[in-house]
Amino acid sequence: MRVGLIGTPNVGKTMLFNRMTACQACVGNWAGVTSQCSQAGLCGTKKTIQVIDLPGCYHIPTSNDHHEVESQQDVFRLIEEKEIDVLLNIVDAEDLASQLYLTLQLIETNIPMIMVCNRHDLLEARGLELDIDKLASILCVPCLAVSAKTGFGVGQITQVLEAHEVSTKKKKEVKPIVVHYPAGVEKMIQGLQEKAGCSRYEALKEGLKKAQGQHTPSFLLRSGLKSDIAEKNWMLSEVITVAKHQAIERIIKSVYEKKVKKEKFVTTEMLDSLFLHKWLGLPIFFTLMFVVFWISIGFGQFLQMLLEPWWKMFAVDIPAWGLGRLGAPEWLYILFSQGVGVSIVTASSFLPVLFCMFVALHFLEESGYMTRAALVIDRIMRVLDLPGESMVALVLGMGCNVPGILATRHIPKEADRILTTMMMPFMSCSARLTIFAVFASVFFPSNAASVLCFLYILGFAVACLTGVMLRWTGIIPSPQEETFLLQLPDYQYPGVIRAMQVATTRSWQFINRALQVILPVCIGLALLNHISAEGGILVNPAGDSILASFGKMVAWMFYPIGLSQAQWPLIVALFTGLLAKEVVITTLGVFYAQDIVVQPLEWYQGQSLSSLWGEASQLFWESQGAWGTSLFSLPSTEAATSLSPFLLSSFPSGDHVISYLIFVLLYFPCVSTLYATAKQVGWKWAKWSLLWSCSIAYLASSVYLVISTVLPTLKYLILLWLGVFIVYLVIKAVLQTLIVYVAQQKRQTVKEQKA
Amino acid sequence: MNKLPQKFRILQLDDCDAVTRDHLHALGVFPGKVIELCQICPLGDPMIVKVLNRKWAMPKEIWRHLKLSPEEQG
Repeated sequence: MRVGLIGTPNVGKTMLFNRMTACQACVGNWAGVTSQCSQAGLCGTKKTIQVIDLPGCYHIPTSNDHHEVESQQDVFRLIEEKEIDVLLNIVDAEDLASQLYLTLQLIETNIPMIMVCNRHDLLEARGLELDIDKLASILCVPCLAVSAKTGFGVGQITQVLEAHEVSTKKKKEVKPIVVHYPAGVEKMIQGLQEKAGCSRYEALKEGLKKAQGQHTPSFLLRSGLKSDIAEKNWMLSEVITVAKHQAIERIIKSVYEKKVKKEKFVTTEMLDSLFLHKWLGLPIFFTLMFVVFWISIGFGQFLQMLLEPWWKMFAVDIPAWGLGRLGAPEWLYILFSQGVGVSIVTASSFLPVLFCMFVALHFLEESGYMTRAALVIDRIMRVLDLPGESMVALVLGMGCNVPGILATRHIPKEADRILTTMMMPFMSCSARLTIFAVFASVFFPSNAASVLCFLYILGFAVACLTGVMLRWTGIIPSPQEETFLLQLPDYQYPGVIRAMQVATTRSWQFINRALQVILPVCIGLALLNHISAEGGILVNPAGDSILASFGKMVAWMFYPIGLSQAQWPLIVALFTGLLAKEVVITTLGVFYAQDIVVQPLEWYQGQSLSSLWGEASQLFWESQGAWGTSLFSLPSTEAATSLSPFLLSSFPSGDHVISYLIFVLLYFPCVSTLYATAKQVGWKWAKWSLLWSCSIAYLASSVYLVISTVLPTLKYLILLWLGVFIVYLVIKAVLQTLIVYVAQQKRQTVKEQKA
Repeated sequence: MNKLPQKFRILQLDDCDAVTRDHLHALGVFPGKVIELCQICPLGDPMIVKVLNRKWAMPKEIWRHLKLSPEEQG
């Protein structure tokens, strides 16, 4: 038996689905969390009953043109083709008025139905009492009171479904009529039902199709069924709607009883007047975004610094120490400590940042602010044809692209989600800031801040350019004018324990799967870095490793961006930087300053476990000093001191440095970002993003170098580029406003002419 | 539209396509119904309206389709 969970968005369908099937599908306090159907067996029924969690919908369309609603296509198809045996209509017990429209439509489809009144436990707090038995007798369907949050009444659903499974095998029930339409419409329904033998819903749909949106439809007038429709010159659909809403009003009056008069939505009203305020809305949004950014990146990176010595100890040092004691060969040590160990440390380094971001986002989601945040910034983001939700993701992307990409799951439309993900690699993350800080302090000590600022703005401009290009070329089509209303959920207190649970599950899932990509890449790079071209094992990576030879071999490709064969470590650093951008500096340290980060095997042979523990503890205590400084201060440029002489001799001019930094800024961030992109929007787009970012990086840095050597007044050119881009954005915004204004005026003129 | 919140009675849904009309009808936006305009978001769009005791963000584009008459306060 197939049971479909159906109801309006944000009534707790997925939470109930999780309860019934022991699944862990995503839940949240905003409409549209579930965008795809999920199916699982009902617990304790030997999987004979399959439960399908359907995306929320406010109604079943009576017109055939419902192509815009992406996520609801499957719901309508399943209902129209009667592929569901029983419908479990989930409603919010506190607020039946806005949900019974769908319920009445479902009753008319003649599909067996059970009504589940969720959040029954909250009725008392609202000072309401719901007469479930009366509701069941009016609607002529079984009604159950449950609370998906506490689990109250969930067992009862299983019992009723099992009983239903037995009873439906014996007989097929016929639904009584709940909504009585005006006489004319009833006669039309009866006529169509007799003719086609269909349900009331199908008869209504057929009737509406015939009426084709006419006021006082002619086919009804010809049949002499005009009275109630012609009276107010309404459309047939309006007559049906009014009849349904009148029935709903009657039902509401008879099933609810107000026990104590309590003021409803006081908090919601008060908070909305603040968060959606005409003038305060935007400053509050940016302040809250800053707080989320600080929690995710500032605090997350601080935790990361504290934990990294321990991860390194457990994943790299202890296995290496063990291998040293066992007298293992060098290649095995490289494979385990520099391949497997480094990949575990790389993947785990994201864990604190992701955990903090998921906690912060959970608070925004569960409190109900996320929907408001999207509304507040929506108008600004529309200039880029993007929804408001994109801004939240892009802000997070400035800290780290991985959480930024994962945060795109809040974006309702797939096209917008893909576009935001494609823009993300260009948002300058904190890892890139480390590279910029080292290079800027070596080459531009007096103008370091200006260089950093320029690179940040350039990254954002290229992200916008990518978005505009993808829209203009039609690769990602522009969204249609929004024609749907967005439900604003009530504010609620987010639970701390639940936030921790959700954040732990989501971060752990990501790390587990990300390791599948990071592990082979790390092992491959470690081996290439420690095996010479002749096949010998290199204890310390040097100029004759396969990676170095590869760097020298492909150097010709980097001539346009100002790199030659003599600068092979800079080229190799670009490749190793794909692991994580910080590795660029580490690689340069290894080749230029012989600053060995992972110690050789002999070193471990002379160590004891307690000394490894002592070293990790020392790093841990040293990291505590970074509290409060990790977000606002520039990264430590200690590396700059040791690298300075080598870097200064590597670049012929400042323009070559800028060209290299532009490449670092724009080429693909890291394998973790690649995996996050694939997880969020699929491998096709992940590959596209990799190719696009590398191409644009190559093009931008080589164009910069060419122009900077041709034009000495380069800064004016950059300003010109930026100016042109800003002017373009302004012109686009003005034109869009004008087009809307002209269309509005035209409509008004046509209306006046008609009148 | 000076003082918010303000109540309006819907007189007619003008030039709406069938999909939007279906959607609005299901939410309780139909001729004869009273809706409340609660707030206008920053930069003038969307409008926050209350229908059947539930709050909705209504794009300005849809708001323009509604032929409304202001209701007396209180």
